[in-house]
Amino acid sequence: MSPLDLILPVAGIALIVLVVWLTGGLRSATIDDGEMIRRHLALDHPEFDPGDLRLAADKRSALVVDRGERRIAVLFALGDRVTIRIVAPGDLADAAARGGDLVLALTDLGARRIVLRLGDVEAAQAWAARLDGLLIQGTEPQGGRSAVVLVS
Amino acid sequence: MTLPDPVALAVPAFIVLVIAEVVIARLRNSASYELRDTTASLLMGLGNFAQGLATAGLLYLATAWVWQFRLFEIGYTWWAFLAIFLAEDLCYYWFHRLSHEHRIWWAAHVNHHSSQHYNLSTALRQTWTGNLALTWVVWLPLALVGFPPALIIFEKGISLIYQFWIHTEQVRRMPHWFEAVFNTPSHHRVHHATNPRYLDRNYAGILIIWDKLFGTFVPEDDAEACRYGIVKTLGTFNPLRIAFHEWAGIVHDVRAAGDWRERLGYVFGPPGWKPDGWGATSEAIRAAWRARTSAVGQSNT
Repeated sequence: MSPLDLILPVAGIALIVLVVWLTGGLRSATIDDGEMIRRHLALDHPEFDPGDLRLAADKRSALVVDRGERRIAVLFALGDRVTIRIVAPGDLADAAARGGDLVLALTDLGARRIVLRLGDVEAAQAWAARLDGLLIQGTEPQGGRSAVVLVS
Repeated sequence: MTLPDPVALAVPAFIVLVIAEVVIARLRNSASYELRDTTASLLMGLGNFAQGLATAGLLYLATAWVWQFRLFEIGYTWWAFLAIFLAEDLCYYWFHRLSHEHRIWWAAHVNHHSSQHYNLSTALRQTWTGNLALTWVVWLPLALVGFPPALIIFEKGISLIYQFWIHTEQVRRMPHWFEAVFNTPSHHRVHHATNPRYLDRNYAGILIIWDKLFGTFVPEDDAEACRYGIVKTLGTFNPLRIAFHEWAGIVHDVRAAGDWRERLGYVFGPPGWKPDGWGATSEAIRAAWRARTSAVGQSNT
């Protein structure tokens, strides 16, 4: 094996990344409104029945409560695409308000930490409290399976 | 006979073709490439190259060891190249199908499907753990039959090179006769899609005939655009997480399992398997989709 066999792939990667950047490849998806959220959910999680929702101030993430089961959908921009995580009881390690941000720590290694920039301290605190029932080893909230929907 | 390493020879062509596709996509105003996604794919390719170097000797030794017990003496005749083309492609089909049907191999393969984009850089988003997961055992019967190890490795390289160009949205359809026999961008878009009708279909490497033969072929429907990625789309561009997230998931599930049936199910069952039978496996997702479409059909009549 010659040094060129190692240098070529590395140089090739650098060149491709440069070309993608120069051609406007650094893009971020935005989540425009509730209609767009419902459209995404209908495509990827048709069994999810979207109810109450909150779109982040930067339009890069959103929370949606399922009207049926005790779970939420978290939508967030990943590059120029929107990704969805369905968070059910036991999927959430922590939900905390940090100023106007809602910081979710999931048990899922594929999406460990999601920051929703709600831009509203009270809303962030209210949602953090609201998601308490989905925490690992969290106490079963009063109202049972629909508690996430009811507590607001 | 000394055969060249076709993949090493193809690297410059890979680079040129990716750049050409970036430019073409830009001219067509297609959002085909995103910087962080592309970088992650390319780093996965680099990691795969490194793990290939690290494990190549072991694979060759294993293949050569089996070859000692070969049933037939197959040299480097013209028909041996034809036969290895067909036989290797059949092995690839089964390797690929098993990699989607059993979580232990899916953990090694999932990273290839983890991008929500579909372009030539996705082709390079290759495994870091496939050789460690022993996926290469699928090709060992070729050595037992009598194909020389170097010929098997050469043909695997040819297959990998062929499969590079089919990772594109810039080619809609090839001529009908070609689509009927060969794996094409259209067939492989289906393979990378998460739409229930497309999920876990079209496992072919070079020849699509295997899918037609074994009942796993689904043609691309122009009325239903492919949505790329995995059922539980990754929320990261971190190559380490891309490479190891499913392995970590297996460890997590096995540690939490109640008994050996559950442990075995989490390791060898289909991806998404759960002990209560309510896991989001491909078949469960497809069944739910069929039920929904049939209910919609009935309400419309």
